[in-house]
Amino acid sequence: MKHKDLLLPYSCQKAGWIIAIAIPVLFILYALISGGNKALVTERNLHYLIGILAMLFFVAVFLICASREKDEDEMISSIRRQTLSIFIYMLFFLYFLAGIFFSLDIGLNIVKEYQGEVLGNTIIRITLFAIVYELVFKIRLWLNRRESK
Amino acid sequence: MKNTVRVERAILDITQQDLAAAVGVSRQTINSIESGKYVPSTVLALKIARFFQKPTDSIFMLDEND
Repeated sequence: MKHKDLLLPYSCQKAGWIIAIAIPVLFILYALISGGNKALVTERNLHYLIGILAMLFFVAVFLICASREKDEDEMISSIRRQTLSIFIYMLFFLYFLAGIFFSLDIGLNIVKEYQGEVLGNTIIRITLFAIVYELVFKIRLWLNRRESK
Repeated sequence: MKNTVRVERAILDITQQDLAAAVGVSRQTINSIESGKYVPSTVLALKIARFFQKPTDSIFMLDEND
């Protein structure tokens, strides 16, 4: 059955996973290559590397989230829609909790830093949301497949 | 919604995978339809009925909760 949606082909999901796996490998390679070479391990180089790896991770998460499953059909689309609803409920709940938490000024300094550094950064926020969405979706898909065995 | 997909499949002696391939969905989807966990779209219901060469409403029926 032809399934019309705005999702990317399954090959993009595979590419996303390859990029996601390559990120720690690249970081380890950099550490191995630059080990002992102080000229390579500069703050500027590290800054660039982390920036590039972070953007690669962002691209990887996007490719994984926005791609079809191998056997995408109308039921998987239905699970996707339900996951989106669950995700929105979770988001409202988490923001509600965070609102109470921060407005009452409870918590440690690390939490306040987290609020400023993480919640304040749109790219990191979108990536985190996408990861949570994909995680919930994959768990629901896995449960469905397990029940169908 | 109730359905008789499992019965019809048993009459023809075909597997869930055979039916899934014939109507263009995954085996998990057929399994979910048979166990009543998933209500198929109109297009898929029509395709399943056409596969079994029966009217759609003889395979898919409303139950008390619908």
